[in-house]
Amino acid sequence: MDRRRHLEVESAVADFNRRTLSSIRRPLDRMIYLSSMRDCNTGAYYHDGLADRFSDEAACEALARCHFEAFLEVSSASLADLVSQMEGYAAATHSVPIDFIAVWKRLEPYRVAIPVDMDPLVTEFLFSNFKLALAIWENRLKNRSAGEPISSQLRKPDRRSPLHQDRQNSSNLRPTEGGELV
Amino acid sequence: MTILILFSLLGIAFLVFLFALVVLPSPSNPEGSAKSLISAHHALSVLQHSLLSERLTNQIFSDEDLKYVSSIGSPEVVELLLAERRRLALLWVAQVRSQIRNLMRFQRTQSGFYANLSVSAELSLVNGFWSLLLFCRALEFFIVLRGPYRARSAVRRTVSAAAHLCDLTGGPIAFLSSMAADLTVAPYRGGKAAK
Repeated sequence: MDRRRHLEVESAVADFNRRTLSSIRRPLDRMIYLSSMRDCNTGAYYHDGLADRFSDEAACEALARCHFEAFLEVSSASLADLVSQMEGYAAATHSVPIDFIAVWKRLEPYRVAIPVDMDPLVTEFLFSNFKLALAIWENRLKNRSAGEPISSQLRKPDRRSPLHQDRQNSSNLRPTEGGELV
Repeated sequence: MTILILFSLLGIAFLVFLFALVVLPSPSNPEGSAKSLISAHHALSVLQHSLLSERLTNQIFSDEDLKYVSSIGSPEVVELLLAERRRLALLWVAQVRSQIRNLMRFQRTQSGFYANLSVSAELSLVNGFWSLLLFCRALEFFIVLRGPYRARSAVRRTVSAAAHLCDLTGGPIAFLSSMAADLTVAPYRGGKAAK
């Protein structure tokens, strides 16, 4: 990469961090948000605002780098931290915890939320931690609801199916230009 | 007596021939040589930047998460954690072994082109590779029997022995490091962002 392109990518990373990522506090939210900007068929990232200010290539590479950094942060989090990040993420997307856990255990959406070309062992470690974090969280919910009817603790009376909920959550991932999760 | 001497000399000559076959580089075409060089560089890079990194080994073998999960008081979750960490630990050892084998293959076939090592240095390197491979195999058995958390000192020894071998093998192909940065093109790099 020539020096000019390198500088452009650096500026794009700084710009994106300042305008958008700084308002997304949790690394898990950042990783999922950034993965939603990637075309799964080509692996290329796209963000309207960033592509307006920089070239497509620089914007793509800047987003890839931010995604990589978010992945590193999530993968180096302890289990306790990961559980808390997942709880925070579910709350931010207005998901019911028990539905969230059921869908994440079944669909494993975190598998498509990682950057391409990651070290396979680090990736496997992160997937394993997600699995464990879901088990810990589920166990905590069960203990909390012991002695009370599960429906009153974990479910709202008029729930839609978990898959419907998941689809809605996915669409909720896109933040506004200002960076807030909508 | 003469026949005994003659057969002894023949035996020695045969041993020297076998040794040369094992240690000295075999003739190869330039394309194969380049592939082998890149493969060795990849193995070195994976070992040095990922598998042997303190961060990754700490994550897999540290008992910090075990303490946290134990405090939850759920035997099922503790069991799941132990099973997952054991699986990852075995995966780690298998990958270290596989990359060491790649380096060993390079050392056996190609390194003569890039490094002028003395016979004793070659022998010591071969000995180092074989010892490490055997140690990795023993480590696998240990992890299966006793779990990953009791294998931490053995893991530290493996990391230090592997790092030493990487240093010895890496010298002759260090020039590839700068080239590799240009050769490695991630799929998203340079990819036209889609509207």
